[in-house]
Amino acid sequence: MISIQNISKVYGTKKVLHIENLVIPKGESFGLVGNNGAGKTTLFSLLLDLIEPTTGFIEIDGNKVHENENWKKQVSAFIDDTFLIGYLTPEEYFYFLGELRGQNKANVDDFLQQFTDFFNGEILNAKKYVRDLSKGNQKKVGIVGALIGTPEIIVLDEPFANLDPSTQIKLKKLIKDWTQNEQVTFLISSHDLAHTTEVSNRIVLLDKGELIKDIITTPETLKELEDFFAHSVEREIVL
Amino acid sequence: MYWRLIQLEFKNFIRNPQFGANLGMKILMFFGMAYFSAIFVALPFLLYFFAKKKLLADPLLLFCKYFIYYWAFDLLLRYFIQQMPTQNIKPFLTLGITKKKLVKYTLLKILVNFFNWGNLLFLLPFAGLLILDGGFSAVQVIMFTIGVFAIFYFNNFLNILLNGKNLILYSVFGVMAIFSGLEYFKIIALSTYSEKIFYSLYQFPGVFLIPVVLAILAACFAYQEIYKNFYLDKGLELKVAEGKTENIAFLNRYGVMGTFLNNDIRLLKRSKAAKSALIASLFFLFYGLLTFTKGYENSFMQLFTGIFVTGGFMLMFGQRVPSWDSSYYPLMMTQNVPYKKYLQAKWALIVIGILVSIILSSAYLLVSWEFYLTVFAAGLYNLGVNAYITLLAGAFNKKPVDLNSKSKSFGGGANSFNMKTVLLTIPQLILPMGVFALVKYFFGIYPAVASLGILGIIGFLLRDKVFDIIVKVYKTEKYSTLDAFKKV
Repeated sequence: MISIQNISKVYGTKKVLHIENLVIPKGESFGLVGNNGAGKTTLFSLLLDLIEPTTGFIEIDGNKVHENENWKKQVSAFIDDTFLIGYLTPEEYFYFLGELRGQNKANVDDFLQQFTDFFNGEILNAKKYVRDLSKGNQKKVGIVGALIGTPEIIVLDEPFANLDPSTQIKLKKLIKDWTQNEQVTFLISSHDLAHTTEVSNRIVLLDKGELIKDIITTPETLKELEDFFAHSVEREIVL
Repeated sequence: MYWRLIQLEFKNFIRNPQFGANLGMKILMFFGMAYFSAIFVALPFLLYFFAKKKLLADPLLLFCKYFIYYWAFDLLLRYFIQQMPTQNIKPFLTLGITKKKLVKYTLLKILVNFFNWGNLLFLLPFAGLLILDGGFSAVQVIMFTIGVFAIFYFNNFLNILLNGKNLILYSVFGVMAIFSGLEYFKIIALSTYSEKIFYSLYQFPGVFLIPVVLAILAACFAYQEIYKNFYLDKGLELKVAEGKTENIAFLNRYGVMGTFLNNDIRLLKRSKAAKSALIASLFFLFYGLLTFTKGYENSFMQLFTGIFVTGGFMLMFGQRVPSWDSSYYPLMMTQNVPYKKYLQAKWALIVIGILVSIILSSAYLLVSWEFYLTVFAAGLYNLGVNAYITLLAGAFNKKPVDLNSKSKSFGGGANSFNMKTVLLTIPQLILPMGVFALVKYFFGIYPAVASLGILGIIGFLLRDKVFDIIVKVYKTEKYSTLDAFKKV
């Protein structure tokens, strides 16, 4: 369970994020939507203890992330290409992550089996280093890397951007399956309202660092979110 | 249009992150450049007066005699180092600029490459000396200089035409190696032909036009070659190395540490920056030759050289831990990485580097037994103490490493310029130098070697303590390091 208490991040005089209280229970697939600069990546960076909170804290199963490192055993993430090791082949990258999560080579090979069609023959045994793969393929490597060892909590920043349509569909299916069968908690941020509403059972909307909406997904959610953004654009035009 | 492109080039230069470094860094870079230019300018004086005073020979003849070897060396150097400046051209391809103009612009950029005009630093003073001091005919010397300069341009364009044709290049290298062997054993003297050919540039007026014409011809061919390959999937594409999954299996026995070690070995093999650090550390082996110069006869300074001879890899690699991992530092910081194991792997690699250096430096046995013992003692100290202290110094170094760039990796040592690293040189250098010199003065060389050995053992026993300190530094500096590493 993730508990966010009174967290804020201030750069200079600019408050980029402020959330009073947010609790994400185990097994939830949590969608985070908002425009650029809404604070999505900031929130994930705080959760992963990559930046220091100005106030407040984030707790995972009772451990404050900026105080001890127990959370590292439960969480894996793919935020951007700084989570990739360019000079490794994809296989070496997967084995490396597997090793850190207590998986041996055979386990990892086994696990990768299910992604054969996901990789479309362009990643495993492709005789390329990660740095030489296309952006889309790098993304696939990063996402699959985050899944290795079936961690309890998986954080993905913009997982659908740059992915081809077939892979988007496969990824959505995987997220749904894992939340149902394995009780994995997914935290996903996206600009794409349709994808996010499809895979998330709860959606939080951030705007300029503030929590605007916190909704349990229903068939009407997509419409509600689209209306919000449409209205905010209209308001700007009027102003 | 060209003016616009040149303006962009200028912006690219001054906004280079390397250039934007702090003031101290700029000053150091300036001195470095001034130093190398000074060496280049000093060379013709050395050659000229060495020939005249020591060999009692004609300096121009001497130059011509060995120029053929320099020519081959120049070609080889260009082949390996001089890169086609096509990197920044991609965004222009779809703009309203004709291809012809872009190709010409590329050629123009090559013309002003240091590899070409840098030779003038040597040629101009040499010509000046020949005319003013040697009394050679001014007109003929000028023609000669133009001829030689044209030869360098010929090499320049030849290099473009040879691009990617390893076989031709290796054969040039092989032939030259054979000839220099034959020359050494006085079977065939290529230098006499070299002398005749290049001296004719001076001797007969008008001969200098031959290399000029050759250079222009090569330029035309190069133009066509570049024009033909001006596509993203041809000449503009950087060659991508074939990826190979590899693993030194026996390292797996060491668990996570073995995994890290495997990764570091891959890093050294596959990253340009790490590779050039490895090569640079080989050059440290020659540092001991300084012992022949003035000011290095005392045991104090000899141990100083010894530390560098055996510690080249340690300094080049160790000072940039964890910077080597800067491009994926957020990954490392969110994984369950056991930092002690991570450090042990880096340490093991450094120890291997020192051991190899100690073995290679046995060549200094040719200098003297005592000097080798000094180097050996320094090696022991490096093994026992400096291997960790360098890692500790690295923990304060927050300059990210761009793994795919060659040039930026140089001067990396200077980047880590901060007070803590300066203070750490006391245990790194001054302490062993002092202990060694003192013990040697009072008790002789063997106890001096032993004293450093003992210090090394003490250091080794404190290893875990030092690792703990480094891990603590990593943790307390975590956020600022993450922030600094973003700015590659």
